[in-house]
Amino acid sequence: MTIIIPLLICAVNMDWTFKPDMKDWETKNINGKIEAVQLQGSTCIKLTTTSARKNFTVIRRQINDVKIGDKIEITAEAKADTSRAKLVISGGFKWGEKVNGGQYVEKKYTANYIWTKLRIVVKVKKLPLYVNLGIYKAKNKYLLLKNVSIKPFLGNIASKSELKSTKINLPGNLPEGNWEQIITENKGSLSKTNNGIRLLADTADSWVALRQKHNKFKIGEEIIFSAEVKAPTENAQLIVTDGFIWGEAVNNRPYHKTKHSGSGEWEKLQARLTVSSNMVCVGLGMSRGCAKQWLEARNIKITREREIIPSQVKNTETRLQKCAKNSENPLKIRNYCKKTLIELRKRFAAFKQAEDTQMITCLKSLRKTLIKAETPVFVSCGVINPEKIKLDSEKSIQIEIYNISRAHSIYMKINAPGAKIKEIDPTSKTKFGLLEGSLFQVPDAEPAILEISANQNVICELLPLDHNSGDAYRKFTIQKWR
Amino acid sequence: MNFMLKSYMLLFCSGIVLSTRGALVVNFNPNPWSNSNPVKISTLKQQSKTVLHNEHPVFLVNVHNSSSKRLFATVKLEEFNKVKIPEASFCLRTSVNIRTKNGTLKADPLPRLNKEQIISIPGGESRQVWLEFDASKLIPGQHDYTLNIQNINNVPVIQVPLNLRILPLASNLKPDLLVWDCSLRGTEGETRELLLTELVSSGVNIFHSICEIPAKFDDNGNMLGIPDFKELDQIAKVLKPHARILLLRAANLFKQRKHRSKHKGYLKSVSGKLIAFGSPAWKTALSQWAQAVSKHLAASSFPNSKWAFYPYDEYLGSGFVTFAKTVKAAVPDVQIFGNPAGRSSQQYLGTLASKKLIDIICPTAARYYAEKAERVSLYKALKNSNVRKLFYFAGWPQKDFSPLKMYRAQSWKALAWNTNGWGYWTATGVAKNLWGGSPWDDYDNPRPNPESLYIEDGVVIPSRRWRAVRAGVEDYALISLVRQKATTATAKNTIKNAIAAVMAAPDNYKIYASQRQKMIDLLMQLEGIKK
Repeated sequence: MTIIIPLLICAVNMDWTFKPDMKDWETKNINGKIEAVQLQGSTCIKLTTTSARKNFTVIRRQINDVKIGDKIEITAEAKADTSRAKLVISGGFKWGEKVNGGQYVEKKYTANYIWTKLRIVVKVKKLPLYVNLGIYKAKNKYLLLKNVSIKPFLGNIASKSELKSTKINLPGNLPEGNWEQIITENKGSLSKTNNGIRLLADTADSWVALRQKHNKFKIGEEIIFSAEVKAPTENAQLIVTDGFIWGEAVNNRPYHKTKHSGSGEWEKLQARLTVSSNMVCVGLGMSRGCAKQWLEARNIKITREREIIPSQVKNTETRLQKCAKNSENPLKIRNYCKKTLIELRKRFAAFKQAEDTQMITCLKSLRKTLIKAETPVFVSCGVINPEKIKLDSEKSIQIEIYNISRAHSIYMKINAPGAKIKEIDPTSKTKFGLLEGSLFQVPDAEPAILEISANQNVICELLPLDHNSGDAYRKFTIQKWR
Repeated sequence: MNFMLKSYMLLFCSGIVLSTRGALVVNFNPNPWSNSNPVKISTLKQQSKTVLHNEHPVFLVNVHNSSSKRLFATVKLEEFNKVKIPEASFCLRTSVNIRTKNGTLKADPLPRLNKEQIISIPGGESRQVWLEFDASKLIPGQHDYTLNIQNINNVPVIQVPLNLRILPLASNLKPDLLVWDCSLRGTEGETRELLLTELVSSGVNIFHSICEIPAKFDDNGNMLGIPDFKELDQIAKVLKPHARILLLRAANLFKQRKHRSKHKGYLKSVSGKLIAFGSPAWKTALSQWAQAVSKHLAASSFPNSKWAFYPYDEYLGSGFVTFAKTVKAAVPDVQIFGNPAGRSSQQYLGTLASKKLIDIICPTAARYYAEKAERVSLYKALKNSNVRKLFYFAGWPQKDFSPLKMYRAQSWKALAWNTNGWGYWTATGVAKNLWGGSPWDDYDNPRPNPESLYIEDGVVIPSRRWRAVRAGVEDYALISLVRQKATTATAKNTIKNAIAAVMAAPDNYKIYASQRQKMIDLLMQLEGIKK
């Protein structure tokens, strides 16, 4: 994570608590009620809507001491029984007024009756800037407001002074080394589960994370940091940084971050990085703004790419062989192999440049396997892929060509200069010519039968038009009769 | 029973598909220009077309095999009243799927069916039958055909009705069409003839030759003897009947070679001395050489108005200006072609046009799409000049490009932008497959093959993209004819709206079909032909 701290930090830094007379707050109320209530010794504001269909009940206040370009963070703690209860930051107009070209950012409360801190980070574009809290178009609902705080935004993760990192030992199946547990102002927790770890953020202010520094990787190496992560928030993330520690403000350094979808299900997250400095940091956690959210992680791994490529290649080769034997669905395998090959091809140039002979050999082997899998297979007189075939006394031969690489029919081209080629319908034994350009079709379920006649030796070449590797053609020679 | 009644009865009985017999299901493809794989489509529409007398209408039929076994079917075209159809007037093709460098499967090549006109359809799959007519080989009037599709192991025949109306009108107002590297790809004999026929019939009229015209010079740049015109003569003889303009890259000899650090000039005298670019000796050499080329071509029935020098590719810079000034000083009416591609070339365009140092400009289409200010300056530079205006596109993998949006639409763009025509790189590639290996294999070279014709010894197979080029050229000719005849504001407005409609949806076949029909209707109305 690269953080740029602005040189001129805006001056605003306020905690607004409510008073019974609602001093400093402006109200607008259509078919609703706004009242001050006492709860556990402090004053709260309760906004209630009545049953009327058109209602708009809001309190708002101008934020002074900000100027255009300032980046501020507004947090409002409240609870509601409707998701139409909102925290709205409006610039250049008050929420509820019709103004074109104003600035508008909103976040909604959840209808869960739980005290929730909503946080909005906003860059001021229009002045005056207002904080608005209210309910729009909801019948018989309430919003109870506790407090509002406004401070300059320093980044999604904690500033250095806030950090309290502790070195911890993770469960046995996690990567070795010193992991740092980072929990801002003790507003969160980390616990070990059977398979991995669980992080919990108590408040929206919490930055709860794990990180680990490394200096063992060589420059130019590709590393992959991966983990299976389960979280109900999109702020759950996995990161690899290069030349700086996650959480420190550094400019123009590479990093790669992957976020969870927030589905609450296990997802495999992976971040790749080509190392360009002596220090690499890997991190896993939730950025700020995740009040009462959690993250579970297992199978946390840091791998060098070159360590996994041989197994990837072997796996691909095995699957291609299975495909050739028709014991697996060819289309599914094709897609898998294509994906692997495209990924590996991208790395080929880098390995070549680094003169990594082991990797180059490995990738070349995969390429060969792929070509082998896509090269046409034919049978003549019971022999598979004969290099030489002798014409019979009729000066012709028959070959059966199979499609073993695709789950649908493919077109092939046969180059046989000087030879006459006919295709045969196996049912009616009808013979007919090929398409222009010596093209013919090979279905997935049955062979194409060709009859080749010639008066001389002919070098034939079979080329499939549906292939993903170069050189996927088969050559054979037809020898003349006597 | 008359033909139409018979057709409608057939449609009525067959439900949503056009017709079925056993495992075979036949219907019209709603978009002949889609290069996606043919699929079973349940769309029914009676196919009738009205065309000019020199057009090439296309009908596309899908044949689906609903069984699990492969079937073979014969495809035969018959005229309803059993009149024999001239063989040269139609051609039956099919589409073949080919894997592109992007990994997609495109139905791009359109080879002819075999002599027996048999297609194979694997179980559960569809095949396309592409039927194209050459209307110039048919008599104007109404032609009602049936395309008979029959499983070779079964008797029942599926009859697909087609109606073609040929108007007694033709339009030769075709756009300038340039496809690069028309050295005819180094082909010879029958293949060369086939290729030339294919290019000319699709509207190519600006040919680009990469032949050299070597000459010898002394140290002062004086030409010794006459240049060697052997290569030029060969190509000029072949292209003479067909070329609106012949572009000569022969001026390569005099180009500035900045990237060669050892010497600035490329030209050498017989004594081995380098003649520096722009030097007095270089100017003398170029002037004498240009005069000799002009004189020789004029004697071969190629006056200066029918050919142009093409000194630099995708560049209009100071080198271009020096070249143009020298050539124009020697032979004032010789034409010079430039195809600016980068922004840096733009600044020279105004200068070149105003000083009449460029005669044919062909910028990339992107320059016309560029932000408004740039477009305005380009138009300003060209507005009052007599420059011949073209535009072009290039790129790969072209097999993945949409035939409608990238090929047919270019002619409509030429109409919208009021240019003389357009060009693209490339239909044929150059000799010895320099551009990305074989057209049949996108994986035999780091760069995929960009050609839109599949050429090999004795065979030239068009692609769907190439046929879209021809359809666009015919659209241009039709609209230009209607434009010529339209005198009322309403008619002119109809033409304007048709062009705008296609420009707004260049990948929508329905829009092309409907707007083209409007143009045909307008032409018939203007010419007093009954519908």
